Amino acid sequence: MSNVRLCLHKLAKNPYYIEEIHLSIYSIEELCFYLCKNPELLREDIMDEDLSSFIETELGMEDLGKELREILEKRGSLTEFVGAILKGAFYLNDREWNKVQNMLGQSPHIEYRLRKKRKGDFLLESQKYTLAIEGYSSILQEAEESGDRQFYGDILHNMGVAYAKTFDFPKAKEKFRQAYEANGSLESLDHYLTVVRLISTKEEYEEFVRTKGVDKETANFIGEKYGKCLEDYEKSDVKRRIDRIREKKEKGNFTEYFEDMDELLEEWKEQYRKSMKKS
Amino acid sequence: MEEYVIGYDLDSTMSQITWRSLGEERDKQETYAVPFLLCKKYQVNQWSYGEAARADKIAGKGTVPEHLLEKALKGEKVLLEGEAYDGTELVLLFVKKTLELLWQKIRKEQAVAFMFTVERLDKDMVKLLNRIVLEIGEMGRDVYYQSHQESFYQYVIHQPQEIWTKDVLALEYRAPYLKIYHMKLNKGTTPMVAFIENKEFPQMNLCTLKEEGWQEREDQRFYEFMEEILKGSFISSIYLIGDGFQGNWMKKTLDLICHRRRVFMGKNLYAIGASMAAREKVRPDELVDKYIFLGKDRLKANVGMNLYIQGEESYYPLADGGQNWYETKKEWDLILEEGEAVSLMITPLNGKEVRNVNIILRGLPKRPKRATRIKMHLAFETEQKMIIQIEDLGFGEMFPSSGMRWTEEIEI
Repeated sequence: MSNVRLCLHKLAKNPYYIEEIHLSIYSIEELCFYLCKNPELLREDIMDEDLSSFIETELGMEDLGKELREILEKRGSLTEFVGAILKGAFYLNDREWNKVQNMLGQSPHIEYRLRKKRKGDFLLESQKYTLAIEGYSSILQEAEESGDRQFYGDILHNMGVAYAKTFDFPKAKEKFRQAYEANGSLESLDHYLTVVRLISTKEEYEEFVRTKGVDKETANFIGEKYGKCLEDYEKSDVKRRIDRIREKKEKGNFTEYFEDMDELLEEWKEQYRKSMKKS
Repeated sequence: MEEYVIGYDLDSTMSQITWRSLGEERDKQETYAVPFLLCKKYQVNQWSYGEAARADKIAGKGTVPEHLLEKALKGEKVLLEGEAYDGTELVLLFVKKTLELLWQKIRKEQAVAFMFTVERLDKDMVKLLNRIVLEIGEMGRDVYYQSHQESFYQYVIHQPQEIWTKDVLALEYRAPYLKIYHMKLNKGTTPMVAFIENKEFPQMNLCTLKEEGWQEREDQRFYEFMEEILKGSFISSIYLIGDGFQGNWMKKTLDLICHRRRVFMGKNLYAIGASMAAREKVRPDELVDKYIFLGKDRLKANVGMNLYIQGEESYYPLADGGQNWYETKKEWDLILEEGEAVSLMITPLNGKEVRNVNIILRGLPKRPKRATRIKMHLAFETEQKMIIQIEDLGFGEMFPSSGMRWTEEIEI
């Protein structure tokens, strides 16, 4: 079986902006991915004249653009509209489409807090960490008051992931701790101890394990995982790239050293800025 | 407006240019030849070319660089009067000057296709020709390249059929020694496939010592050589190319090779063949469907991949066997369903087994299914060496590009 599909349509010069998730879409594949990712979260506001025009003019899919406009004119359903896009792009097979269709049917019945969490999950996966944290924060109190400890813990856990991704380890540590307290999830405990290990020396970590009464097996597991991360890093492309840059410095080639180092730092800064963007 | 196609034989000794009408007088053609010589006049930045360059040198008015084409191909500088000149720039100057003659005969806008033909099309030659085309511009709506081998094929295939009922030879006799192109046609396939073998004979070096009786000795040497060549072969025609055949020394040899065969002096053969090929590009005739030429520069395998197109899994051709390697350059955007590998299928035209080649995108960031867009670029460095470059484009704002690129060299 093949594992690639041919892109037949161009990338948009002017993207289509989905306000609800602060996302700009540049291709039909991105649009389909978004539609299939959380179909139960889709609402009728996606049935938009601007989206039809975007597909027609920016992506060059004239027939599909016209079809969507006709659905809008006759006030067709959300399922019909989304179905036309996914079928027009040949994105799904029949089995996958049936699954998406069922989930689309659940859309009107989904709870507000769950919708909000899923939206946060999507932002987290899309590496929009600041926006994800904002989204989760807005439902945190409601989640706590709902008494659903699992749900509340999951939100805290995901906030921990978002903080860790933005290098705010103290906040990440606190959120993982709260998450573990709320839902008792071993994954949250694991993440909590990993962050502790990341921001401590080996001795500090061992002291922490001793005083907090962490069982030996879990503590060792985290220690090994940390060691494995270091090993992976040693073999990584990034490490090789840094080594190459350092070598230039050792050979006294300072101009190239500074140029390459600036380039690498600029890439990292750009990635960080993107993840911190609020729109 | 009458339209023309042009064949330009860029050769290290003599350049020839043929222009051919595409209109009613389909076979109306003209050719002129210019010695590949450029002369820089002493003390001034003035250049003469062709016969004028030869005359200037003899008159002691200037200096002529030697082995200009070879130096340009190697990217070497040419030293004239203590100043270093870029070899490519000088070749460019020569081509520009020779084309000035052409533009006096026809207008630039009348040229619809321009075919360069050269002895061997390798990476360096393609680079040089690309530079010439880029710098000169406006040489014809489309510009193509092909080897002498292919120009020979085009020339022969456009001759009356009785000339190529059997094999055809082109004997190219010029310094340093004799070369032969041997064209064969496999009539058992559809379309019929033509091959050309290149053979070189260093023992048949060009006779430069014209001492008394050299004609008889040269004739005898060639007679014995051709006896061997023709033994047991089925050859319907022979073309004689190059200054080695000048001097009216062939007598006994001609009696031998003309026996039940047609023999021609192949004057301007490559330039004319190139112009015929240019015409084929613009107005293909019935020969295109009937015959295919598998020359040295043609790909000997099909390259493709299985992928999803409009929801259906099917074989998708990336490069077709029979195409010239230097003209095969394409790129596609692909979405990875999952995993971090791309698989290509190589199907040799000689019926050998199909080969699968996996390109592993090592280090590609882990992303969900169908959330990685890659750009795949395919090109060739020779007819056997394919270069595949893949670039991670990420997936819009959701998964930014890692900026990673992978390059694979694949023998086909």
